[in-house]
Amino acid sequence: MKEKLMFQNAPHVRQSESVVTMMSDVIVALLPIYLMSFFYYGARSLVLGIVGAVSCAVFAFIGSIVLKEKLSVDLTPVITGLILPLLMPADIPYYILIAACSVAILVVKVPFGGTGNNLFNPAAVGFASVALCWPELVFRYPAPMQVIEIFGESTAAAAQSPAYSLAIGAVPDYEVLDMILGSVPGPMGATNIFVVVACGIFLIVKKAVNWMSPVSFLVPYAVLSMIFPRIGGSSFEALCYELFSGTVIFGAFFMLTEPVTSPKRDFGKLMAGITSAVAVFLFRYFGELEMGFANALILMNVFSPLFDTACEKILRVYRNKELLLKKLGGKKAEPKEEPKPVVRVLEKKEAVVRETVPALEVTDDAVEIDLSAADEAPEEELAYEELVENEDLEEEIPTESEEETLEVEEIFEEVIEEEPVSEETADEVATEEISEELVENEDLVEEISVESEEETLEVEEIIDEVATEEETSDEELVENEDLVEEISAESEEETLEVEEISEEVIEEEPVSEETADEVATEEETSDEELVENEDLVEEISAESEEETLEVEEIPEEPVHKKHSGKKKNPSLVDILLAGVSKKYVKKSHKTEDEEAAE
Amino acid sequence: MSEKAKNLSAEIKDSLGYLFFKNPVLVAGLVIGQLAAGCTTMQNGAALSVTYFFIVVPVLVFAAAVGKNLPAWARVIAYMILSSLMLLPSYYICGGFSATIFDSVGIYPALLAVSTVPVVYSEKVAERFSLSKAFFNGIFLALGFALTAMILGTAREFFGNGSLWGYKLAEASFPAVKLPFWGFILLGFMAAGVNGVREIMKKPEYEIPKEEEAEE
Repeated sequence: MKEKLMFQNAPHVRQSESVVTMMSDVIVALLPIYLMSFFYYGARSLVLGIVGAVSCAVFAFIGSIVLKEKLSVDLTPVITGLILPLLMPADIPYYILIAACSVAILVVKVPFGGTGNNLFNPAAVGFASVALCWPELVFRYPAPMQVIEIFGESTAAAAQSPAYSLAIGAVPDYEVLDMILGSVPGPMGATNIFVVVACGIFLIVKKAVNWMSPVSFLVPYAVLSMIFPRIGGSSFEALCYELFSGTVIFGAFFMLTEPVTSPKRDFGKLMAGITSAVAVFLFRYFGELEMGFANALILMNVFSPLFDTACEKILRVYRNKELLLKKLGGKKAEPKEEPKPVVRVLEKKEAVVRETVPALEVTDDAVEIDLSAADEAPEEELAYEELVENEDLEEEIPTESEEETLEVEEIFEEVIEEEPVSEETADEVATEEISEELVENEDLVEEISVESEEETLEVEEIIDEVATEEETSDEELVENEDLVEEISAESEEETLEVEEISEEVIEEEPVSEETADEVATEEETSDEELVENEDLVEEISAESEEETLEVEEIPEEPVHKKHSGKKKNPSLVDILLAGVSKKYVKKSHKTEDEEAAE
Repeated sequence: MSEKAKNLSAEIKDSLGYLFFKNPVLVAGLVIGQLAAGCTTMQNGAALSVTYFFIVVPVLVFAAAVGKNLPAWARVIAYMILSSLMLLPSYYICGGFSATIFDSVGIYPALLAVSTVPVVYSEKVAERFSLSKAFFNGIFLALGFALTAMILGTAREFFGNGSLWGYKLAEASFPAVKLPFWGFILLGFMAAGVNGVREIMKKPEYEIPKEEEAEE
């Protein structure tokens, strides 16, 4: 059996949640709502859901072709196609639903870049568009528990929805319990409040939806409904009618929480929820149509990025509130303490050590520390922790040892003063106790002495290092000076030799005028060469002894005896200086080669 | 061909771009609000086009002729006074084909009088353009605006009312098109179409010679 190796591309650490899992959770949450609508309105509700989902998927495919992008299987068009029928009556014509799907996908999603780039909620815009186009069909709700034909025109009797009753200022004819259970006319998926809330809680538990959005929307809306009721009667009834009518609760869980168009930050979601609640209430309070939630949601989608930026600014102020309080209080910000540079500390340490601990006598047996200077030294100079600790320890050592000796003496006195029980036992006890204490004290003294030795050694090391550094620098200077003297001595010797040679040349009998001239020229050249040589000597004086030794090993060059007209023969100075520097030898080689070539 | 004629032809060629590829509404994004909200029918589109013509052409010509001689603080005021005065002849002409047309358009002709072209663009014209160039610029700007307004008004009237120039042809298939929201959406689609055509007709920056292609 061959073992197969698993090969995966990075990232290898993946989250369990993805867009597909989130959308599948939403689909699972919508299924009970479709089941309830099937219970109340028959199979047409299921067919509407299928038509919506398929239409949106097809339009998304068309959009991907137009955008020249690969079709992404992220189920978002399916979600839009499932939500749209739930906002409409069960007997809505299929072409209106398809028109709403086309607007939602081809107008709201595709032109702005597809999934994740839409500026508005697609379902809200699609519903609003068809509601404006066909209000008489979109807001005509059939009564529940009627059989509606799957295909063809619907013959179901229409009924007045609670939202319409509230819009005209009338009290709905339905009880609150009926509204919770969904046995009232209204949008297909928004009437059964109990199932909608249960599905919403399921989404929150599965973390497909943030709880902040629906809660921050429903609570302020409820408060506003109680404060400003559109109908007479108790505020609790007004609250129930306002919340359970229309698509308020359904929209709070399934439309307001759309991840693309809702704010990203929790605080932003809170702000968006509150403002959406106010907007929805105003639209429903003063608007004529029953589509207040969709209009308010479209308006809030425009301000979602603003909520995020406002949230960021508020959080930034909160994080820097201390600085802000200081600025408002007029206090200047405290300057940050600069870290003490280590070099200065070391230098100062050395100075303090030298001043406070000048005399150190290192002996094998004991450590004698002259602390008189340390005692006299001002406290400001002893600001460094290590030195302070050392000196404190040094001060403590004699006191501790003194205390210990005192203790030992007291013990001896006590032992002497006590009445002996028996000579043997008393002696034994006393000796044992004393010996133990003595041992302990001796150990302590040894430890302290060792510690003090170590500290003094450390101090000495610091001083020695400083001293050695100075010595080394002095030694180096001395070495350099020696080198210079040697080199200068050598150069002097060489110049003396050159002078002697030149004198010998002068003393010799002149052969002829030509030769004399040649000799003169040679002398002149030799003078020139002397000058050159002196310059070279100065250069050489800067070099080390090793080079001079190496140069001395170079064999001398042969001397050309015959003078031939224009050719320049190597002079005696050249020969002598050939043993001085390598460079000079090289130069002469070059010139000879060039001369030979010429 | 004389130099004057050559210059004129060059100016006309430059100004022709305002019809399509430099359309003031679809490419430059001028006076979008007035069209999206006011241009709901063909008649409204025609009224707005006539008004724009009577505003833009005289103001640009006036700016090219007299603008430099006026002090800077008085130029914009003069342009706006002139554009407002030119609403009267447009009102008179539009009343010829419908008495209530100007009323149905609302405040949008008055907003055209204080739009970008008479207030801002006329300053540029005053500094740089000759009389002939300013005249042709004005003509083609107005023609480009009229082209956009008529297409938009026609589409919105047909789909929103099922009629053309007030004559009923079919049932209203999509009444929401008359809303400003859909006006902006339609203008966006039209602008996308113009950009698409520009991309198709745009020449590539570098063309591989045919000889190199044959060698490859």
